[in-house]
Amino acid sequence: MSGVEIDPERVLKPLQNTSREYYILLGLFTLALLLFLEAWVHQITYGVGAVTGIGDWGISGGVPWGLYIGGFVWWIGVAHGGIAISAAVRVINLDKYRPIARIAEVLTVLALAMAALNIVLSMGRPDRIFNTIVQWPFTVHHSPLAWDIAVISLYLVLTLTYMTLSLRSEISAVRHRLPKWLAPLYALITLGYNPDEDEKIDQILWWLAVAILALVPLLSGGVVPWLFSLIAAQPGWYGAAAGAAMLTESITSALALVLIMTVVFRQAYGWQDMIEDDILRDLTIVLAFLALGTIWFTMHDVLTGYYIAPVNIGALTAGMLELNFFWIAIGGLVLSVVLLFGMIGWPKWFFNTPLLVGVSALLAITILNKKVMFVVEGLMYPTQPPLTNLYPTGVYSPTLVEWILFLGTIMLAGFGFLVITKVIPMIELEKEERELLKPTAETDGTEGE
Amino acid sequence: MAHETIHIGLYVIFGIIMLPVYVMVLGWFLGKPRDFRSIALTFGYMLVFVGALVIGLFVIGTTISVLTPY
Repeated sequence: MSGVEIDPERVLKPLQNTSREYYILLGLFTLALLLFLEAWVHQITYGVGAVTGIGDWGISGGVPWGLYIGGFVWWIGVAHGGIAISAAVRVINLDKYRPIARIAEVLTVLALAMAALNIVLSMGRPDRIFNTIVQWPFTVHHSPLAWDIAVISLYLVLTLTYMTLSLRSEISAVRHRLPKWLAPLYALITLGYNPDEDEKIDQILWWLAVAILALVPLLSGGVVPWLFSLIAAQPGWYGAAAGAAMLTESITSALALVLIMTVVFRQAYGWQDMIEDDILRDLTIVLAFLALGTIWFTMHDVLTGYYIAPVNIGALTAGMLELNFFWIAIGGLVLSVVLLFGMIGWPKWFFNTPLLVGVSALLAITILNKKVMFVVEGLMYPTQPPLTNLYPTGVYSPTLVEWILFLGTIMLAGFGFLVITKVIPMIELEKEERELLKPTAETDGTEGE
Repeated sequence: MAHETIHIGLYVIFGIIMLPVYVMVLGWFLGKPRDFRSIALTFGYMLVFVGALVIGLFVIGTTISVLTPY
């Protein structure tokens, strides 16, 4: 059915062989993970208020949300954009992009987990999240965290189900070639598998993909911006374009990270012929227009906030224009757009993979900067009740603990990718490709387990 | 504003946001081929994931709250 040339032997290679570079990378990520754990234990031991730049509601002043909630908004955007790519491949038969669909799926699952972890970090302890779940029917009326948890849980359950179902027939067909020590996990994924179910599972997956695609604008462009726009209507947190702006930013950073991970897999496993340059060029075009859209929405904010805006919005916009972070973000966006359109218009001069990875990283960091500014700014100038009653105008600067914990979530996602690469095939194999992997005399010892 | 039992947030979540999920489930039941075993299996996985999330949070949360004062 497809024009994509996938070599199943090479797709399975990472599951069967491990290079020296992999172990080195795993060691580095493990060290980062240990640093993360140390910082977390420190934060849990001394309390969020004592070791971060975040102030407590109504007690110590300053902003009650900072890098963690900015990071949460960023990760959730990455998750939505990631699965949108994968779901679109299934719903509208974009078979050309099948080689990157699973990379995007895995990114989504990891990004959702990291979004949830950022909330845990911001709240201090995981049992508070558990309490929020138990109290959900009573707190959903007024608690943005109750909405956050509902959104993350819904998305995580849907994407995990999507990934598990899509793996059933595939894992069962190639199980004799997969690591034996993971047999219990594969048994769970393929529980009660029967080839007769394939047609129905495909139909179930199609509807799951439709629901996931529909939920992307509803959640990333709806619930998440509404969380901010409905809370006490802080300046900068609302506006007619807020949802569309956040959706555009989210998909921009998601696509940037999908591009980075795609290039990493291509390079690491020599999959240049399976994930062709053509795919990277197409994604570059989409990324260029998304980044341009982000600039356009930023102009919206600045223009409406600067030109005869109500006093509080005017003050916030004026303050924002004096912030170095704002101009760093604008610089990052403009430079990215110039380079991306250069790659589209003059590929011979501008298009090269390292530069594309660099621009993608610049965009992802820029959007993170914007998200953190968005969260913090509204809270720095509490001009609307009830926040004015809770704390005075504050300042915010993330502490080292916050930086280690937030950057730790990026390292954790990288660690997750390293682990998952050794558990499931990172390119989905279709029926005819799986046929090529049928057990031979040497391999059929584990067949049918 | 007093906390009402029925709030606009509930209409938004269950009336609008969850619409794609309702449509998805309808699609599973009405779409062909009719295979209720696979649908039950899908719901089973979803329940397992929800259970893993809630129980995992409970276990980790309780452990940490016993070990630390904050």
